[in-house]
Order: sequence, then structure tokens, then C-alpha cells
Amino acid sequence: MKKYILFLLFILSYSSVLAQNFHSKIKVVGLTCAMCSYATHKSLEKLDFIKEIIPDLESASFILEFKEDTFVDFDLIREKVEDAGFFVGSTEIIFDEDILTKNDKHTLIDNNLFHFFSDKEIRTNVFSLVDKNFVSKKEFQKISANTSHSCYLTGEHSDSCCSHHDDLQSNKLFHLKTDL
Amino acid sequence: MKEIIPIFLLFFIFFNNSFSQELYINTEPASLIPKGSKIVRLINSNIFLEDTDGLGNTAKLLIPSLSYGISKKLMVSGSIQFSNDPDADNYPNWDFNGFKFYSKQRIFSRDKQKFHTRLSSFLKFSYHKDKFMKDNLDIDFQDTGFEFGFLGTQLINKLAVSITSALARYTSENLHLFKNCISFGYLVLPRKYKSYKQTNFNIYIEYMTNTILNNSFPNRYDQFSSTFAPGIQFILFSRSRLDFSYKIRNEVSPDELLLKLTYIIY
Repeated sequence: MKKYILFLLFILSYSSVLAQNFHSKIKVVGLTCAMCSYATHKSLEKLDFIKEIIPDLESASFILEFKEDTFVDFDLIREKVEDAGFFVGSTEIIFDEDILTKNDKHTLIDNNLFHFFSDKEIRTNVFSLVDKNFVSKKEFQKISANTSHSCYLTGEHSDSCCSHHDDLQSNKLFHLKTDL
Repeated sequence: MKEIIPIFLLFFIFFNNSFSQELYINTEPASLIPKGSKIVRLINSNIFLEDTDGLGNTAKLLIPSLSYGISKKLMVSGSIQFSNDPDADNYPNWDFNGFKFYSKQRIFSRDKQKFHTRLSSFLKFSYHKDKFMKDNLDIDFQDTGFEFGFLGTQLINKLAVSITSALARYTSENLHLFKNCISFGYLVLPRKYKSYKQTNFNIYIEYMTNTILNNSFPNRYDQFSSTFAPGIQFILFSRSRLDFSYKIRNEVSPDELLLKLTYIIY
């Protein structure tokens, strides 16, 4: 019996390690039927860094869980939604634990570089993705005006913009904002 | 025509507080199929002809078709047609009767929550050997020619309307046509989406018109003709469709029952 419990504990701990320390909720717009949601689901399944897709058909949103040790490319997620014929309305990134946000600073989390924008120092775990193709032109220009970092315009990390990092899986970085 | 107007009005009332669908049976929506997906389709059309001795014969068509989403902005589709000869003694006798090629290009797409505006253009080319409805023009099922047009789909607050306008050249008879269509779709079931396995039940109304642009044309044709097509649709497991549509034409033209089986390979 003890053996089984140990085995079960091992499985439980192992599976929790397999996922990233954050997941995402994307809202897809333009969907009108279950067939459209299914097409989007199938298109997203083609991305190898996605571990699980949990759909909410009524609100046309998808919760995406990611494989550990992978770089999560949100541009590819957007592309796959658009390939299915629709658009990403909003992208939320939800961290397992609260993060103390410092305005215009970035953090490396599970092989992913995130750059945070925040009006004040705040502790939270829910953020919105505010990169170029994820927000309206107006919103993009507003954020651009308030940052001195060129990475927001280029979408890429560079030593001249942000501090140096070794062994990055990708030079891409994504920008997050909290609504709080 | 008079009886059609109240049905349209009824539809508008329905639309105000309900879902709508745009997977039309006789026409296409402005939306394209997902990139990389293939759609396998089998269409069966039954045209209820009335021959000279007053006995009705049915022209039966069987059309397998394959569509492919090349990119998010371009899809192509090809089909071949097999048909019987309704006048032959050894009826039914199936034979190859033609083919059709269709491509659709997305021009414009704007999506918001429960709102989208889409505009596409399309090209169609078809060749058919036999013509079943002698006093009707139909590039999809029995005539030969080219067609080029635009289609727009608008969805606001779950109300969806599609309009198609096209110019066609029927090469077999050297006729030019201006074609128009308005389509409505309404989702009856489910009321709430919970899973991909739920069966969707939709009803459709499509109204298609043909106007001959030539000054002179064979007198068996009317310069203006129209088809009214109510239809129902079942979507199974979010990847298969079963459609039924009944096409009603003017008094002298035959009615038609259309069955469509669709399977999507994502």
C-alpha cells in the first residue's frame, strides 16, 4: 500500500513539474460556431510547446498550458488563430505565483523573457500581453511613448536595450501589463 | 415572391435575440476554411423534372468535392459530377458529366466579440456535358462557364447576413449574367455551447437571382429568374455536416432537393 502511495505522490509531483509556471488564456474573436472553435483548437494543437488546450466554447476562449523548458512564442499562437480564420481578442498570462512588478523591467521566467509595464509597484499574477499585434494601434502608440526600451518596438531582446542573458532559447521577449 | 417577404420578416425577428450561422448550403460565406484543412464533400442533387408526357423523371447528380485551405487568405476547391440520364430507358444510368473549380480570396476581415465583417472575392469555372433543366441557367450543376464575384458577410449581435454579387459568362450559350444572392442562417440548437460533441441544428433561407444581361437570348429563358431555398443543417462532432435544402424556382421550372455530406480534416 505504501508503495502505491509513494508511486502516486511521485506521479503527482512529476506532472506538476512538467508544466510551465504560467499559463495563458486567449480570447478569440469572430467565432460564431462550435466548428469554428474546433478549427481554432486543431490549429493551436500544431504548436509543440503547448501541453494542453482547455476550451470554453461559450466565451470562445482557450486556456493554454505549456510544456516545461520551452520557449512560448505568443506570435505563433496568434498566427495559428489567424490561420484558422479568426483573431486574438485578448491574451492573459497567469503566473502560478504573484510577481512584484517593477515598471519597465524584465524578468526571465521558465526560458521566457517578460518585460513588465506597471503604473506602480504591485504584486499580482494576472497580466495582459500588450505587444504590437496584440493591442490596438492606439494602445501600442500610448505604451511606446511611455517606454525608453527599444525592445517594445522590435519585440526582441538586445544587450543595448536590456541586461545580458546567457543561453536564451529565443531573443524574442513579450511585454506584459497589469490592469490593476 | 409575395409569400417570401413574411418569411424574411420572421427571420429578422428571430435574429434579434439568437445565434446565427453562416455555413450556407447553396452559397458560400465570405469566411474561408482554416489554413491546411481539407474538406471532403459529397453532394447529391435531385432535380424533379416533368417530361412531355406528364410523367415526372428525376435527374440525379452525385458530386464528390475536395477543398483545401492554402493560406488564411486563399482556398481552392474542385469537384467532379456524375449524373444519370433521366430520359434513358435503363434508368438510372450513371455517367461522368463534368467538373467545377472554385477559388475564394479573402479581401477584408474585421473581427470583434460577436461581430465580424468579411469580404471575399471568388472565381468559378465549370464544364458540364448534359443540361437537365432546359429553361434554367445554373453554372454549378449543369452549364459551362466562368463566374467572378464578391461576397460579404456581416454579423452584428448574432445577426448574420451574406450577400453575393457576381458576373458570369455562360460560354456554351454565349450569355452574360448578373447574379445576386442573399442568405440567412439561424442556429436552433444548442442554446449554450458546452462541448465539441454537441450536435448543432441550423436552419437557412437563401434567395438567389439571375439576370441575363444580353439584349437577345433564347426565349426559353426568362431575363430575370430566382430561386428560393430553405434548408436545414446538422453539425456533428464539430467536424461533419449533413445539409438538406429544397430549391423552389418559378412555376415552370423544376424543384430540386439537395443533400450535402461534409467532413473536415483539420
